[in-house]
Amino acid sequence: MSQPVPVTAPLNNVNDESVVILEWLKPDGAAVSAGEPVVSFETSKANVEIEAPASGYLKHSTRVGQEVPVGAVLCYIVENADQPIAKAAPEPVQQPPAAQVNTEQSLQRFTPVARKLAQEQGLEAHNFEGTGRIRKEDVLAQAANGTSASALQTEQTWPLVRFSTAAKTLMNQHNLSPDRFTGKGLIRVQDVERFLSPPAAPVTVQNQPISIEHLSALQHSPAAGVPVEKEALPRRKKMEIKNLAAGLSASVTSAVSVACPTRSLKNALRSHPELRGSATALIVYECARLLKQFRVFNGCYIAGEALYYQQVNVGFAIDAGFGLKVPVIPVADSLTIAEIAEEMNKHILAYMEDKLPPESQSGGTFTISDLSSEGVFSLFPLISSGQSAILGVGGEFFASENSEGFFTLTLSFDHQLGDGRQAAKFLNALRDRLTAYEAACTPPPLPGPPNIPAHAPAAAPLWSTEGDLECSRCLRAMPDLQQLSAYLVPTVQSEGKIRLLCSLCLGGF
Amino acid sequence: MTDIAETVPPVSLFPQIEKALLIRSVEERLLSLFAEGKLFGTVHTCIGQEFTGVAIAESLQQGDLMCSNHRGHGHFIAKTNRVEELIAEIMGRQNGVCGGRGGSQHICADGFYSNGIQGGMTAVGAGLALSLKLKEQPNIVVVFIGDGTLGEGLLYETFNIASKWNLPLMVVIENNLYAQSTSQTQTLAGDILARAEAFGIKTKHADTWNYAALIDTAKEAVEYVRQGNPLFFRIDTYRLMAHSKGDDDRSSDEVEGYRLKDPLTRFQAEYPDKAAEMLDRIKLRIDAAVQEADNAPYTAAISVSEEEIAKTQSVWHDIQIAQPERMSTLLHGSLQRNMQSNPNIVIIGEDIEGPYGGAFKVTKNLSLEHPGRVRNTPISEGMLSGAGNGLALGGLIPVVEIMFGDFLTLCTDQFINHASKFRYMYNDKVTLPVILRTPMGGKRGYGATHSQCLEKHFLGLPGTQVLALNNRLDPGIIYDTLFASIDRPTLVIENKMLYAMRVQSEAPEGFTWQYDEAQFPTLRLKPYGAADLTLLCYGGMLPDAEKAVDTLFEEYDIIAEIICPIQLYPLNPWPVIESVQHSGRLIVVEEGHNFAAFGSEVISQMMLHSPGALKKLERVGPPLHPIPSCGPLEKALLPGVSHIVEAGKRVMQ
Ligand SMILES: Cc1ncc(C[n+]2csc(CCOP(=O)(O)OP(=O)(O)O)c2C)c(N)n1
Repeated sequence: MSQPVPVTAPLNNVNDESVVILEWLKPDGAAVSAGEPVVSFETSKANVEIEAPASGYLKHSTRVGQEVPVGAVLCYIVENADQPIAKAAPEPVQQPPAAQVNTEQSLQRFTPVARKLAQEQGLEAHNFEGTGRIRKEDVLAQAANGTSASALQTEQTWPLVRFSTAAKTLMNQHNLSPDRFTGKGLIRVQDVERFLSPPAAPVTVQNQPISIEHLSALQHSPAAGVPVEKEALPRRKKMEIKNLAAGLSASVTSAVSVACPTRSLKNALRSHPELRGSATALIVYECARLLKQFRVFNGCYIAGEALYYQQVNVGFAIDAGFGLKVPVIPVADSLTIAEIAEEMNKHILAYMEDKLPPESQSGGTFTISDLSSEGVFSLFPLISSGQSAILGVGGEFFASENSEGFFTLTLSFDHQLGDGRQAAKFLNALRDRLTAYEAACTPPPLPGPPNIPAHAPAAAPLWSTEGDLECSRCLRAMPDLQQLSAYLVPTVQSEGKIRLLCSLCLGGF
Repeated sequence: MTDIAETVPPVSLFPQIEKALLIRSVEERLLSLFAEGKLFGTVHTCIGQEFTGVAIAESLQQGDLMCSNHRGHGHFIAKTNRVEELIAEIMGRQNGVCGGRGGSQHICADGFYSNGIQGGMTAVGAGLALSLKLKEQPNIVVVFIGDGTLGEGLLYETFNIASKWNLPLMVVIENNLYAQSTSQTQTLAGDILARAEAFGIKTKHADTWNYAALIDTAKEAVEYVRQGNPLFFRIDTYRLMAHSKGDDDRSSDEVEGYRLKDPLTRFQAEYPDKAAEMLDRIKLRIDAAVQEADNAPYTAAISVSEEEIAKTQSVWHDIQIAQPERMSTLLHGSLQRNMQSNPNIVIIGEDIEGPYGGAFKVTKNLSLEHPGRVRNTPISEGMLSGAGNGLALGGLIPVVEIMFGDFLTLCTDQFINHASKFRYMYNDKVTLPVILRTPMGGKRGYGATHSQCLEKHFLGLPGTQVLALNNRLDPGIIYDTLFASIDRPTLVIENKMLYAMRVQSEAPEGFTWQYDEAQFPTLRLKPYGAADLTLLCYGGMLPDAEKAVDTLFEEYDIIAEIICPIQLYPLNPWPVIESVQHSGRLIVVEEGHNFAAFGSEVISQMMLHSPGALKKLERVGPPLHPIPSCGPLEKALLPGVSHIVEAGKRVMQ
């Protein structure tokens, strides 16, 4: 049996000491032929693909997300599918060029056994800050600590999914399709339940809990000589402050805005009756999908390290009399538009009864604050604690009398993770996604808002509804709406009924 | 009682007399060293019997082998003349012949092997003789026993096979009329020589008082055996000192009578000057030997690192078996290819020759392919395992098939007191590459004595290994590895139910079979997800455990991970500890009675090595009830899929 052929991370850029594995283009154990790309990784300048140097079977020896020193082995090509690596393979030969001194040193800190073990565990030298020579025991202790890099890596995927009988029953009850669990291996009831209401994002942040008292250093001093009336703040306001202050104090906040045509949103509301008139649900839906590509906005910065959440749990801010609350839609990136709208509706109803359970407000990894119904032009939302970005949605405005309407999308982000260019990219991508709904629905089946000037008499009853012409959500009647320069839009409900919503309710919840 | 020889010894016998005097002087010195507290345990001296060893050794040649017993110093000196190393050995010193490890009764050098288990070396001698015969060496084996050992059954199993196979084996009985304190008149029925004659074995008879005649008879005997025949040689003699120390109830008159006719006593009376000259030389030698030994360090403990497997992180690989084959076919295939490539492999057992080829057909036609190297034996498991040990000492790789694991009880003495001890006691001068294969297990209605899993009785013997095959890793590969690496007595458990099963790597949906990098790997049924519990099993329980894992997931929403070692001893506890560190729950499944068994040991090691990891435990095994042959009851009592599933449910509560 011939020796496994090691595939090493080449030096593409003299400044790079290491590369990050982005993706395996061939799964572990797959048959590969020489010249086929097998792995892509990221250098400081570009993403690079490496080809198999020989034909055989691919054996991964690193993991996606792992940072690997230049020259280290990424994978092996072996002759037989079941050829063990660890025994047969020689220690990866490190031949670092002069520029690689640091990497070499950091590798030398490991004993050979410890190095192998650390590679298996996805641990690197920086995981052992303060340790001199890193021995096997150190690696085991670190791995056992659960603080190993592998704990932060993407959830393991499996070649198949299998459901227990009980899990199948539960899925049927919730109309869940098995596709939801693709690559998730063995699925039990608890896994389905976790899918339905996921726990908090798995990162436990060892930050000091910030109490209001703790912030006293930042206290205002009241204007001198002006008489004051003191009033204790309600607890929920205190909570709100705590969260926002923590987010603010831990972030280096910056914000970027784009304008987005309203027309497409309105089309979307029409073509997606399951939105129930809520454009926010659509924004949640699109953001969630986009965030998977923009992980800098779905993470948090802690002490020199970037933590990227492995779930996209989108919170949306509500403030309608019971305090500012941010209920969270867990794993929003894997839910359908209808499911998101349904979830949001559930939360809104609970909020209105002031019965929003605390657990429904935890575990958010990103937040959306939609003030479009509040008649604002744009807003500068504050990043929540433990997050790196928040999206603000403004209300409709018109650049000139006859132009189409626009609304603003503002992304506040933590500069410690992202930057303005990425924020712009994110917002543009989001806008493109939202405007795509316009194309999806032409011509409008009913005379819709785009061509109706805000103050046009919407009375022309081209649609038949029972009852008065009023917004079925806010119950504002036509005259009131006209005063507010709002108009009514017919929407199709899931039961097939047409329901009228005002443009205010349409814009935001 | 034989009469004293009329004639005085010819001068030509002085060298033999001096050898006998040397032996006696060494024994006397050992007794005084014992009194000085410089010896450990006890010594069995051969004072009065010296000429047995001297006479036989006279006719031995280079390459001839000798096996002895507790009273073996004289035999050893007669054959090897290594007085200094013998004294140091008995004093427990590193410069002893076995580094001080063996002591008085366990000595090995120059083709000499002693062990203090009465009769055990007769079968070992037969194995050595067979190895000589197979290697076509013109040498012989001499085994010394005492008359008390005529009571050991193994002797007659050995007589039988030695005669049947025409082995160059001489059994010498030193007939000193007593076994420890017991007179032969109390224990011996029938005639001594007639015993061997009944097996068609030629006999000879001499005594130590007429040592000149004894030497001549011994010469004839050795020559006869060298022609390829077994022989039984009775030498009448008398031990003049206690059995070991202070355990002598014989009348002083009787002892005195023998002392008077003792040849060395007479020689000293008749040739005082000659005797004094000899004794002066001897004393100088012994004094120097004692002094040298006294200055040498005591023997030290050996490394036990091979018995305790150090902690390592398991590295797992997927099992991929391209073509499923029956277990028995794979076993046969491995034996066949290894016999072809390695001429040292010999298989012995009951009913193993072709075309029958063993109760489970593993040896099929191997006897036809390799005549003489695959041998049917009589129903003599003790002899079988003893002969296996002898074959291994003789440089071969014996595979001993024990038809049913239950019969392993008859091999315990050879496995525990011989095989597992030789390498240590003989100071690593020998290795014992002997393989005992046997099918264990029930579920076939064979009843209480043909259905057990008795491996627990063979676990934990330093210097041995115990393997249990299963249907998920090609057992042929295990045997290939074993043949390539064997350096110790190895018991291989092959569960009866497995023989007909196909060995394949297919796992229940959502699970993968994996093996670690150990020489004899541990298997893991890895779930695609985090396991709720760890299921430890081995060998024949694996198919049931696997089915239970499937059911536990499908019907009870429980994810179990199986850890299934092949090597039961030395135990590598780390794969199961690692698994339990994640799952927190453990079910140990054993087919045999699990009181003080494999599982008990694993659990105890887990508590020692990783306290706190194990949160909940269940054990699955049969009740402490003999195995009934009534099918339905047997099925209900022996652990099966439903028992494991129930345990899985309990452990999750
Ligand atoms: C199998 C076994 N049973 C019992 C003993 C304990 N034992 C040691 S020597 C001995 C007497 C042996 O008598 P015999 O075979 O006549 O030899 P002798 O001592 O007379 O040389 C006994 C019972 C033993 N060593 N081995």
